[in-house]
Amino acid sequence: MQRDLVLRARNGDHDAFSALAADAFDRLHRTARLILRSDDRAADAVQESLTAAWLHIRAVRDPDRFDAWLHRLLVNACYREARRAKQRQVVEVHMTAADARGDGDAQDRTAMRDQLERGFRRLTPEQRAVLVVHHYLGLPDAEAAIVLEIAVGTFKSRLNRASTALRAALEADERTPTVATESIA
Amino acid sequence: MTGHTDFDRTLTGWFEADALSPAPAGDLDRVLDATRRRSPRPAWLATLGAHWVGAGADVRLFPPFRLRWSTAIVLILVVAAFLGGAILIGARILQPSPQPTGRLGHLAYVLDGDIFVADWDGRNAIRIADGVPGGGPGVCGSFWGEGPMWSPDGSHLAYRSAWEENCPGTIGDGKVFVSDPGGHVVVSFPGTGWLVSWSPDSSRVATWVELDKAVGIYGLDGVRQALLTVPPGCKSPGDFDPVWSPDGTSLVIAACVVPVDGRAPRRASSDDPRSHHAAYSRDGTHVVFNDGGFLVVAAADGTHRRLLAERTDSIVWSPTGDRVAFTWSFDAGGPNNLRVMEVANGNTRELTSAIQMAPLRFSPEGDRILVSQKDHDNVPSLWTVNAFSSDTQRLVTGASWGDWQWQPTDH
Repeated sequence: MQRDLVLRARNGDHDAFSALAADAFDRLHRTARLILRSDDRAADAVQESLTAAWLHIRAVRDPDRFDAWLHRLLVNACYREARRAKQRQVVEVHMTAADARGDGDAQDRTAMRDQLERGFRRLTPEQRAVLVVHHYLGLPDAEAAIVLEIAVGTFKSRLNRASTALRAALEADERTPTVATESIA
Repeated sequence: MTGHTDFDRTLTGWFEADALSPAPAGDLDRVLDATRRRSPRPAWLATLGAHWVGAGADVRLFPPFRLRWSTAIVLILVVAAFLGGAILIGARILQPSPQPTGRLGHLAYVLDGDIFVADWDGRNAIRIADGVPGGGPGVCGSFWGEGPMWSPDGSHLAYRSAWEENCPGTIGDGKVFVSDPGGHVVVSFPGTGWLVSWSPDSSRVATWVELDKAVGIYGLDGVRQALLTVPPGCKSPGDFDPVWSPDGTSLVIAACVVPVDGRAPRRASSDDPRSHHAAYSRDGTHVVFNDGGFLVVAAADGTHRRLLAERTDSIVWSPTGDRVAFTWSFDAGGPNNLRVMEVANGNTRELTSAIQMAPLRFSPEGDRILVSQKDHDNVPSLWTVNAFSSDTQRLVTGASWGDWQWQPTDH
């Protein structure tokens, strides 16, 4: 089904592209938001990647690898968005109903999320991307390497380094509590 | 958080919980509205723009750092010293290549599935390959040409056709034709893909025999001199046609460097400029490539890199090797501006702009640029743009690809 849509889109069928974009949109936005830690910049990255996808749709030779291609566009757009962000930003902490109840487990979970949030923001965009591609998208190593445009070996070592860096950030955070204001690359 | 398993599970759970909130309503509609007003780039342009899928994530052009005042002062002094030194020795380092030994020959172009050869300005056109009306890449019975059509020495012309045996054909299946400048076919052989890849010495053509799997190298006698199998690890999304190294000893295919003498291919590192859709200067001493939208100029071996511009696309060298022409756009969907930059000092001149445009070729004298562009009605045309005065002249309406012939001055 998707293959057929890609072939039609490659021939200039915008309806087919719309169907592909609609199918991928939520996943793209969530992925970008995880990498960039910002709704607004995630929206910009998704818009940039989908626009590029339409303009360059004829660069997709293998329709079966459309998803990998689209995610690669998104990751590159996220890198560019991250480079553009120079100013310091306030961390957005979303309160959920469970948080508001204030029971012990919920408070623990909230504290854990805050800790992860702070630790994750200390990583470079490339480190965040490798963790998101592996832990959120759940791509096999070979496909993740294609999305990130690196060799499989590089992907594995980068994943290891990113995990180590996040662990170190979390351990540092446990030792030294910080306020909820972080710089973002 | 103890142990890798717990850590991984915690991280995955956090990602999944964090990703629960939906994307903002209306964003998708805005994207689709914006794209609906535009058309996908033609295959050859999409290929040239494939840096969108070819950004070198390994190469960090701007590593993060914290700048202190003391560091800034030291940097200023270093930059001042460097500039002074560059002024003194730059002329020796960045000597322009010798003046071109060629002159502008014929224009070959593709129109509605036919191949034409005309005077350089599009006059006196002769149809040398007659395809089906309105045809184009992949359309059964049509002819097309992408990438350099003329051999580097201007002695031959190469183009493709949809392969009759495969009609109605799928995109890419075809046959390569090589003709003399008068349009008389010298040889043809099976080949698929997009760009026509001439060897630097004009004696051979590399073409996909089977997409993503095997590349054939054919001589002008039609004999296949080599069949290069592409390892699975070299595959990558997007279009990748074989690109010759300046010395003609290897091909860059997708993400790998494949020696033509049969030695084992190796994966191109992210530092290798050939992994970035690189273009070599005519004398083979310099390379320019697009690294994630950043225009980088380097020595042919990838050393001495200099970042010259960003948000660039479709880069071509001047024949003297001292300038590059490229398109610049503020955003992915925005209009393109045609710019020319002196590689020695980065001085840039903006020549013209259009909804979509791409420089295809400098004239041998370096004073004109052959440009493909689309107007507001989405009609492609070939134009010539004066590289110094910005004067423009439409050459062919309806054609989106063409190539100028290089003729030796002793002809």
